[in-house]
Order: sequence, then structure tokens, then C-alpha cells
Amino acid sequence: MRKRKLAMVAAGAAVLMTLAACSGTPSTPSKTTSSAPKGTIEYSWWGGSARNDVTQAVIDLYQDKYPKVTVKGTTTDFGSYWQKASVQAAGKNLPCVPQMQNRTMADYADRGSLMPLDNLVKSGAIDTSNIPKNVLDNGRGSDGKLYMIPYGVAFGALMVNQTQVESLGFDVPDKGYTWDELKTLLTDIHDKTGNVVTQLFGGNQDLFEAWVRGNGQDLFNKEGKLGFSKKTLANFWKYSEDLRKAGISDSAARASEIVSQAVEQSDFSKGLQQVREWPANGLATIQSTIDVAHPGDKIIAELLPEGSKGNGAALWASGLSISANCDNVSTAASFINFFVNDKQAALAFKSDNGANTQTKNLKALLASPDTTPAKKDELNLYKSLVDTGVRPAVYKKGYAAVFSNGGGMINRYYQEVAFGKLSIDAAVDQLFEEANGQLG
Amino acid sequence: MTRTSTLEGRMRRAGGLLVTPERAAAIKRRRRRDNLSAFGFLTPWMIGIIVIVLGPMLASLYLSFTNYDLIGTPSWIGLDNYKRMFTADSRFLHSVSVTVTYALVSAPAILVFSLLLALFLNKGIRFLAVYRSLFYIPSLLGASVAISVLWLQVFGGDGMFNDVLRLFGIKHGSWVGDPNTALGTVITLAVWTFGATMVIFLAGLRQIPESYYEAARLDGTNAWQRFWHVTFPSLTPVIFFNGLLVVVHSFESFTPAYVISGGTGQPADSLLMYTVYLYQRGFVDYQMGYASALAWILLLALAIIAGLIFWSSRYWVYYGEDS
Amino acid sequence: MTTTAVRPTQRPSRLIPRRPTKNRILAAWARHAVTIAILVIMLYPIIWMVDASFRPNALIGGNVPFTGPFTLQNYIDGLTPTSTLNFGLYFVNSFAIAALCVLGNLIACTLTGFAFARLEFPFKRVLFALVMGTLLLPYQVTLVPQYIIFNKIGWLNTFLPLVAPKFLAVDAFFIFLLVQFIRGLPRDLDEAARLDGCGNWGIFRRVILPLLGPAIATTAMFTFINAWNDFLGPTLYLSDPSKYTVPQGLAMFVDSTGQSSYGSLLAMATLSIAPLIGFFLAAQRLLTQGIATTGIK
Repeated sequence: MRKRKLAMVAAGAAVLMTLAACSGTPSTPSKTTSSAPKGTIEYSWWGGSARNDVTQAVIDLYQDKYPKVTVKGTTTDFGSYWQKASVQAAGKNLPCVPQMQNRTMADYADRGSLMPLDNLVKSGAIDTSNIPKNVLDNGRGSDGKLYMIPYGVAFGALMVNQTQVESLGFDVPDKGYTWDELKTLLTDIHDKTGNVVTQLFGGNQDLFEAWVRGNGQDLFNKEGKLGFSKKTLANFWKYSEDLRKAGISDSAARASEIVSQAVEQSDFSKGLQQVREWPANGLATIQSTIDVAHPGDKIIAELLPEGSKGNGAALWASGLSISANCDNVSTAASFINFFVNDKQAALAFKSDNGANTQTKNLKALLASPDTTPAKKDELNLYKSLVDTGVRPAVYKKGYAAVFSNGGGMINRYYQEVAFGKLSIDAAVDQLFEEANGQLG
Repeated sequence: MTRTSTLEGRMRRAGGLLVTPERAAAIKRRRRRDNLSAFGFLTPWMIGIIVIVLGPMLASLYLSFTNYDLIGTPSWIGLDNYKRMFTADSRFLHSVSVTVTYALVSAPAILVFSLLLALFLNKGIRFLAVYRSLFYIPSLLGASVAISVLWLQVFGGDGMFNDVLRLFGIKHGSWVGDPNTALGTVITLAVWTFGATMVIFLAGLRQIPESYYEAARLDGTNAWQRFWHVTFPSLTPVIFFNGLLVVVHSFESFTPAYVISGGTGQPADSLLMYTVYLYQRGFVDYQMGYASALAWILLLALAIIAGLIFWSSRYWVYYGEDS
Repeated sequence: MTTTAVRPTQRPSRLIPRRPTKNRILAAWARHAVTIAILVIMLYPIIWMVDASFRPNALIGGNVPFTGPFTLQNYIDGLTPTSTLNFGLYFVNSFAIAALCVLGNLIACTLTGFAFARLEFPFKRVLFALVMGTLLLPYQVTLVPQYIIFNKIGWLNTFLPLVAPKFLAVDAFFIFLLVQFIRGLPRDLDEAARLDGCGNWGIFRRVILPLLGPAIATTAMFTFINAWNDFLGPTLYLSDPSKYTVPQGLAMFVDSTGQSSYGSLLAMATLSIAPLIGFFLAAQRLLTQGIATTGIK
């Protein structure tokens, strides 16, 4: 009996092994003939309730246009989205259209979970002619192939409470301001108010990226390892430490306790701080929160400071991909094409997840009376950024492990510095050792 | 019917007694029927254990010897994961120390607190049902997102706890954000949700026959003696159960630290519980092979601890069935 | 360890029952006071949460509880179905899943617990060690292989991966609980029943089950609560929003990348505790039934 049971167990395990190893070979993409889309596809995205509403509006429009198609939408919050996606990818079970972000896409694209879209673009199934090339290229993987069609672009912005800053007698930063000028402004405000002016900088992935790229370096190099120097990181942390020790930025404890806090609950959104970094597409949200918490304050969004080599802005694109195991590629392609290009859809989505990448739709949104002033500010800022040209960034595997706010190495090691457990140089050395050991 | 000359030769042993072959066969049949009956009771469990538990467990054991990155295919690397854990991973050792500290403090706290309250409430106080339900409410909030909001409200720099302290003239910063005190807030959260343990103690107390107490009272014992000679012994199976589970759960604790630190173990890794570290390695760093190895080390450690507790139970747990 | 050997008493015990003295009443009051004091401290966060759920702009102001502006808007916002959010439906789903889990656990774990506690069979100790072993493995690691299995048998996007395992006694916690409780019951009743001609099934049904009231209530309650609060399982296995459960709905209110609705979150979180308390109170009656007599006589 025991032997039999052991054999059963071993057999079960063996079966499982083969299941896991070859659970579904990627299906060869069906020929993209120009037949009308039909069948069912699944589209997954992340977001809160507001995002869900506008996304569903787009899905409804698409299904009105193509009644033979069913688009099953599934959504969850940003944090769980990636956990679920990675398990689905492990089971070769990603939805046909998984939403992706260029920063974290490499973990999927490099491992073969996503389908290259170049052929679909070439055949015209997905029309990308109205997306600027340097924006479209954000959807490329390490091998140069296109894995994601970006539909919304976010970028880091400096949110400034213009009303409060000016009432204190200072000016908001001018276009092209530098990090040192920002520091001076923050110090001046602090000297006047005696309060904390802004958030803690040292663990923030957006600010760090702007710092690195403003110095002409990159987060990753071609081999997938760290693309910046130890000195760059050390200087960034020193900058942050100066602010922290002077009481100009949040304390380390404060920064840690608000790690899960949504931006509307932040001190900046309640009018208690005057400056804050946040992706530009959050401007409308913050403004509406301030309108309740501290009515009368106007928030503006500016580009992040310039470094020695100019502007370090990077584009963070969210977009739609097709999973390697998708069984209805033509419909998936048609849905993506609709999402990105259709004017009605763009207006319904209200550019909720970053600035709309499609130039014609962007113009339509700017012209539309439904678009709020704050949203228009963001879109204009985006336009100016793209017009000046943004050096493309390539994100490699392991982005989240190294950079993500909260859990990434940058924040983790910075906390050791900020809580006084490690010196800056020691922390930099250890980070480089750990990161480069893991990356590439 | 008796065969004299070959009787002894044909006698069989059954349960230490000499019996006739027919009786031996009958006993054997009976035993087989008993076994079949037992396995009948066990059928659901056996199916479940093989398909849902053992299969994945063995798969994860296999994965612990690979460099599985969750999305690609695993390839064998032998003992590298285990070697790395003990020689090249200071965060691993740190997570062990955080978890052990947490377990050593929270497990006794939960047990003692639950037992005291259960005894207290078992005295037939009026509104017992209401009180019991109210004490249980905190553990109902579970893993809800609301907990992180709540805990910040209470233990944050501007939180309610500090408001109370200020009344006494004590000023303090954030309890949640300070690496020295953050684990304390998580332990508090664990103790706050003690309701389940208390309910089990109450159920155990309820199962002690009243007749035992009456007999003890007739003997002229006082309350403490009654507790020590009636309540405690009868309660030992439940204490053993709760104790084992609270200890095991505290080593496996994930949700409170995860929710409060946003899944990161911050501030400064002070909340890096072992399972949080495991989760990070597996799902954020895509090092699922390493995470599997971590899980199996935890399993081994828990097996040893549970084994010790089980072995010790022989000396202090009293089962009613052995009366 | 015998504890209740009756010795002849040395002096007569009190024959006249005591009248409740002032000390007694004070003691009772003191007990109530202490309990309430502890309760207030413990429940204050929850009181705060319930209070905040009735306030506009829930987290912005520092409000004193039970005073000031109240509104039902958060509840209305939370319960109003939108195109992607339908809390009424989530309550139904959560309830269905939790109820099925309770049923599964009660059936499977009592059967299994009885076998381990009362019956003899080969490899019993090994198998019980296996039961305890499953208690020790962290779920994060079997997560992916289990997902692959359920994917292969086509159970994705159904309730089955969440419910079916309960019918197969995978919850070692409750097996262990029931084993401990059953072992606490004297065997005399079993033997009496056996003399009456009961087989194992008869003993299980007629002797053991009725005496397991508190353990069954405990199992039912905890299973319900764990199933209700489970977030990871439903997130992994349910992709159709119309099948979502309450915790998933709650998570949709707070998102770090978009706009959050804290008011609705607190309102729905408050509401989501209500069924749990209800279930708890309903199970109380079973819980309070002790063994009134040993039943031997």
C-alpha cells in the first residue's frame, strides 16, 4: 500500500512537471486577414473606480461598433495587477490584451510572454501612423521588437502649490530650472514657514530617474546592468539628506508610514506642503482634492529639474499588448487599434492614464469643452515635452526589484542611510553589488 | 471440532493471544473491514492531499533546486539556492531575526491574553454573548485594505495614540514609520486580532463538564485550586492546539506586516517578516526558485518546532478519552 | 492524571446558600466595567472607522466621533452599481463562496478528524504527520503550481478553485481542531454505542457529531470568516468582475495610480463586517452549548 501510494505521488509529481514545463506552446498567430472581428477577447487593466468607468466606456463603444465581439474586461488595483499577471504568465494564461507599462514590460517581453506586434503594424491591422516615433519606441523590448502600443504617456512632474508659494513672496520655478535652484526655493520656503515643504526625495524612483538622465546617464546599460555611476547615486542621496536633515523634506519615519497612501491623502494634497513630485497625469486629481481641503489654491505642474546635460525627463508609457498565448489575435489587434485611434474612444477615456499618444486625438482632447483645465495643462505640458524631444529610455528586466517606490533597492538602501544605519558610500557600494548581481 | 494433536501447531497469534485459525481469519477480516471503513472516512482527504497539496508541494520542492523565474522554464542548479541563503544573503538572516522576535513576543502575548479573557468571560457574566462578539470584531477586519488606513490613523505620527500620549505630556513621532517601533505596532495588530484564539479557548472551557467543578467544590477547593486541578488539565488539549497554531502562524505571519509596510518590509526592513521576504523574492524579483527554497527551509524549521511541541505534549496534555 | 478523586471532607461544607452580598454585586459591576474599558480601547479604531464612513471627505478632517456633519453619501456611492463596480453583487458572491466553503469543511474535516481521532488504521501516525505538515507550508509557494493545475482542468474564472478544495479536507487547521476536540470526549460513549450494534458510521453520526457542537460552530465560523476575507484566491482565479468578492471590491476603491474613494472604502468595509458579525452571533448558540452532562449515566 505504501509503495503504491508513493508511486501515485511520484506519478502525480511527474505529471505536474510536464504540465508546468510544456503547458501550452505559444499558438501561432492567426493570419490577420481583414475579416470583421468576432469572438471573445479578454482585456485586463489596473485602476481605481474612476479609471474603470472610463475604460468600460471605451469597451462599450467598441462593442457597439463590432457587435459580434465580446470584450471581457477584468480589472484590479495596481499592486495586485502585477502579481496576478505574473502568475498568469507562469501558467501561460495571460489575457489576450494585457495592459502593460514600459517600465515593467521587460520582465514579460524578455521572457516570451508577449507577442511582437511589428507584423501587425506593418500589415495595417494596428495603425500607428499618428503616434510620434519617439513615443512609439517606448513600446519596444530589449530585442528592438515592438511589444506594446502606448496609449497614454505619463511623466514626472513637479507639482507646485502656486497660490501658497506666491503668497509667501516667492516665484514658482522658471522653465529650465536646475536642481540647485529647486533646493534654494525649498530652503527659502522652509525658512519662511518653518514647516516641512516637500516629500523625501532619496527613495523616489521618478526623481532619481530625472537626476540620472539629466546627467546624461541611464538607469540601465545595454547589458541590463545599472547604467549610472556610483557618484551619481551618492550625489542624489546627499541632496536628499541635506533637505531631510534641515527639516525641509519629510522625515524618514514620515516617508515610511505613508508608503501605501494614495496621493489625495498626502500632505501636499491637503495644502500642508507646497511642492511635490508626482506623475503629471495626477494633476487633475490633486487639484480636485485641494479644492476641498484648501479651497482657492491653484496647483501647477512643471517639468522636473534639469541636470548638467539638460532635461532628464522620461516617458512612462502605458499601453496594450497581445499575449503570446492569445487565440484571437485579429480581434485583439482590432481592439487595440480602436482603443488607440478612435476619436470617440479617446474622448470617452478622457486621457485618464497619461497623455493620449495619438496626435489627432490629443488635439481633439485639447479642443474639447469636456476636458478640465487641469487636464489641459497636463496635455500641454506633455506636448511641449514631446516637441522638444525626449531621449528614449530602455528598461530592462528587474526594474521593479531595483527602482520601484517602497520595495525597490534604491528606496531600501536609502532608508538605511536616512535612519542612520549606513553611510551614503557604504549604501551605494552595497546597492551596486546587489543590483548588478541580480540584473542582466 | 477441536483438533488435539495439531492444535498448537495450528494456533495463530492475534493481538498477543493464541487463537484458532478460524478466529485469526475472522479477526483479519474484521481488521480489513475496519481499515476500509477508516479509509472510507479518509477518502476526501486523500484525494485532496494528493492533488491539491502533495503535487504542488513536490513541484515546489523541485523548483527550489532550480532558477525558476516564474515566467520562463526552470533549469536545475542544485543546492545553489540553499547555499546562497546561508552564506550570501544578509537579508535572509535579518528576516529570520525579525520573525523570531515577532513570534517570541506575539505568541505568548496572544495566548495569555486570550486565555485570561476567556476565563474572565466564562464566568457567566451577563451579556456574555455580546461581549464575546465585540471582542471578536477586530479579527474580522482581516486582510482588508482598511487595516493599513486604520493603523496609520492610530499609530502614525499624527495618530490617535500620540494624541493620547500628548495628554500625558509625552511626545513621540510615528510608531509605524520608525524602524525601532514598527514591529511593535505589527505585534499589537496581531494581538488586537486575538479573537479567534479566545473563541477557541471559550469553546474548550465550555466543554468541561460541570460535574467536574461540582465534585471539586464538594472537596472544598478554592477558585485557584479549581483552576489548576480542573480547568487547566481539561483545557490542555485546547491549549496545546492553540499554542501550536499560534506559534506556527506567527512564524508564517504575512498579512499584518504586508499590509502595513505596503508589501516592502519597510521602514528599513524592520517589518521584513520571513514570508514577506519570500514574497518579494518570488513575485517582485521573479526569483521563484529561490523563494521556493526559502519556503522549504521555513517548512523544515516549523516541522522541528512543531515536533518539539508535539513531543512535549506527552508530558502535559491530558486527554479526556484516556480517563 | 486523575484529578477528581472524591475524598471524605474534613469538615461539613456550607449548607446554607449565600445571599448575594454587596461584595458580590460590586464584583459583578467591576467585572462589567473592566470589560467595557478594555473593549473601548480595543474597538476604538473600529469606532473611528465606522464614524468616518458616515462623514463627507472621510479622511480629511480630524473629527470628534459622533459629532458634526453626517452623510450617507459614502454608502450610496459604494453601493450604487457602476459599469465595473457592483457591491451588492460582490456581497452575494462572497456569501455564496463562504457558505460553500463552510459546508465543505464541515463535511470533510469532521470525517477526517473522526478517522484520526477514533479509528485505527495502518500508517496512521505517518498520515497524521502529513496532515500537520500541510499546516506548515506557506501558501506562496504552492500558489503557482496549484494555479497551473486549476488552469489545466479548466476551472479558471469559476468559484471551483476556491470551494472544491474545502470538500477535500485541505484545511489542516480544522482537521487538527476536530481531532483535539474529539480526543477530549470520553470513549465510554463509543463503546456503549458499539455494544448497541453501531458501526463506525453510526458512532460518528450518533455519538460524536452531536457532542461536537462547539467545535463545529468554531469550524463554521472561522471557515466563513476566512473565506469572506480571502483576497488573493479570488484575485488569482476570478477574472470576470461579476464574480468578484467583497475584498476585491474594496481594493478597487483605493488605487495608487488613479483617484481613490476613501469614503466608499470605509463605508463598504464597515458593511462587509456586518455579515461576519451576523454569522458569528448565529453560531454563538452552538458555541455556548457545553456538555451539560457527561451522558454516561
